[in-house]
Amino acid sequence: MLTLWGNVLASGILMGLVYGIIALGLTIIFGVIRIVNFAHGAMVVFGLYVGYCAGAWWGIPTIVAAVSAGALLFVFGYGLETLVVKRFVTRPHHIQFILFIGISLVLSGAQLIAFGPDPRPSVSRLSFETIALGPIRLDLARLQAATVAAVMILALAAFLKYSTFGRFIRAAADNRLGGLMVGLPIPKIYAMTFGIGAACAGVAGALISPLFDAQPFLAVDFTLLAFVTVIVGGLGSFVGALVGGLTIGLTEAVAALLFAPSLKSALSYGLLMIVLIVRPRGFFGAKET
Amino acid sequence: MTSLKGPLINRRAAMKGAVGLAVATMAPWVRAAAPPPVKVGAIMPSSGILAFPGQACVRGIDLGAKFARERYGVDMTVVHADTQSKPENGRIAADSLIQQGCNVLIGAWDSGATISALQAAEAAKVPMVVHIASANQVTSQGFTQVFRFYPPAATIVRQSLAEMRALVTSVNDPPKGAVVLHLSNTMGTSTATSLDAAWKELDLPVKLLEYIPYDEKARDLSVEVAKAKASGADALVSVTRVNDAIMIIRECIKQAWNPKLIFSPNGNGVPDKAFYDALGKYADGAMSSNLWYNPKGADARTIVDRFQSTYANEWMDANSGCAFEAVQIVADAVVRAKSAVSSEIHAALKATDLKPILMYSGPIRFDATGQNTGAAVTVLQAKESKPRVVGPDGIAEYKAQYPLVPFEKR
Repeated sequence: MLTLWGNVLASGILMGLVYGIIALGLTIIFGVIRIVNFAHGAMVVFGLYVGYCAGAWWGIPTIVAAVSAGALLFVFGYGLETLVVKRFVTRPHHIQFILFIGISLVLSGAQLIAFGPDPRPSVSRLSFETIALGPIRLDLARLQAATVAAVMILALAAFLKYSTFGRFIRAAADNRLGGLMVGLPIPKIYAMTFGIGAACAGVAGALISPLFDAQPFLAVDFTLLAFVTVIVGGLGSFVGALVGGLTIGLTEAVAALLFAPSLKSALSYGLLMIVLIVRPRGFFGAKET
Repeated sequence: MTSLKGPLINRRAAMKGAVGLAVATMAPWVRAAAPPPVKVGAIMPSSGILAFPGQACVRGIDLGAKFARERYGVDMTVVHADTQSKPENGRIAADSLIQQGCNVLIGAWDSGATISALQAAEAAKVPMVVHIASANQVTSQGFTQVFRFYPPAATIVRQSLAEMRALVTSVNDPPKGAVVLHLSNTMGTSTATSLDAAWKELDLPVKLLEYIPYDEKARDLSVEVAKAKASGADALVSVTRVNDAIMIIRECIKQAWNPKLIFSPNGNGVPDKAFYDALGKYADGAMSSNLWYNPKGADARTIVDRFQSTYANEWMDANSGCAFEAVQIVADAVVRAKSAVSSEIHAALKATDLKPILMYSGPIRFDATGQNTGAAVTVLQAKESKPRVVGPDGIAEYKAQYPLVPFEKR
């Protein structure tokens, strides 16, 4: 029984960190630009396809695919913000909502045309590998994604804290108008931030390619998952994304063990409702001023 | 202008007139010999989470229509409708097809969408041939327009467990305990309920230890498989879709769980190409009982080869096969009805007595509830990255492999 609990908790923690990395890009974009990227799931699926193609067509390791997906999505995100999103930054939320739903549908449609509706399973060895710590077995694909999630968060935090451009981003996030008045390059900052958020989605997608079969229809699931994660953790907070992911991962794992596994999703949404009632800004969300 | 000099009707003109008259009077028989054009509506989950089997069904329908045209001379127009994998869209799709003038429907793969579509078919009195959908409710709710080729979950499960019983009683080291991992949707729950009853009825010499239901949108099945392993079972019985069948095997490998038997009554996975693409050598040994084409059937090889040449990267699987067969059932009914009117096709479908063209089945006949009484399952086992028929004995290509080779030794 102890082994079962140990394995389930380990699986829940790793899955939670995977959820955290999926949500990271969403929280970065909201934290700075204050727009909610409903196309986030479609960007994760984009990364998933990069991971799939890299592994299945060229035999490239997942981690290298993740770097490529990050670079591709950065360029895509930067371009998208510059050409489209920046016109909507100050528009009402419902207009932004429609814009991003549209972007999501276009991306999913393009994926559908390019790859068809069939699930594209990973052929990576990582899909089958674990490492054993005594009786506890750790899934290598999840462990890799979790490690990269932690490294990415540290790197992003360091970038924001110590680099000049990082300080610009923080200043723009704190006060857009003030930033404009002191001459910060706000359009460039927003484009960079959107690019970084999209890159995080791409990296996450490629890293989870050994775990999830690539399919265009996963976009909605990933968007929803990222939302639940960041709302629980606190919209706009990096640490919140990780803690939110961990909370959901562990809730699902423990719920599956104690109750019926088919109740996993119901319980994670139940948790979301509790958080919304008790602490509407999530664990690490900033207070509304 | 008629010549005023010669006779008004000469011998040649009289002959022409006689031939014309003969042709004109024979026309009704000539028309009767050719079946009337019929418009068939095919309702499938062509997009969404069930797009993989849905698209396979579309391929089966299209090839089936070509075959029916050649075999029966039926001028069949197929109109496709997509449920987007949402059960509630079954009715919308059926309504739309009926409004487009479809005389008969085929569909809808998943039980929820099928029941939803049947409500529209029932209201419009348009017959619907259900190629795949196993929930008992499809034929137990009093629908008069339903003709289900596919057996209900209870029949599949009973036949499957009879085959499983034959296997475990014939081996030296049979499994002692089984755990059931199943979907918590209509199909999964219905199959699990039937499984419980049939297990007791057939008195299987394997102890049923635990049922573990899971959501069809589950992203991760590690806890479910950990629970299954912890139950002490050495046989895994699963009721799955393709994606989760893959996830379960991956988790078995990761968690170093080596059941002696992996058997899926009425489940996907083993019959599907994606299962082998994803799992490679680890797919081998898993068993499943499904409707499948009869590898020893008279037309099977020709049809399978034709499918292969038409869709080079796809397989003729259970989805394509059942869809193909459903089209032949419709074509046969249209030929006998000599009409494309829905009520007359309905009457002809009720009187169906057809030797299956492709699939393994007894003679296709529908009982009062609309259920095909000849429906029969085959047992498939993954072998060298292909599903092979290992039962029933009469059509088996190979002997079943038992116990399974542990994953780490492959």
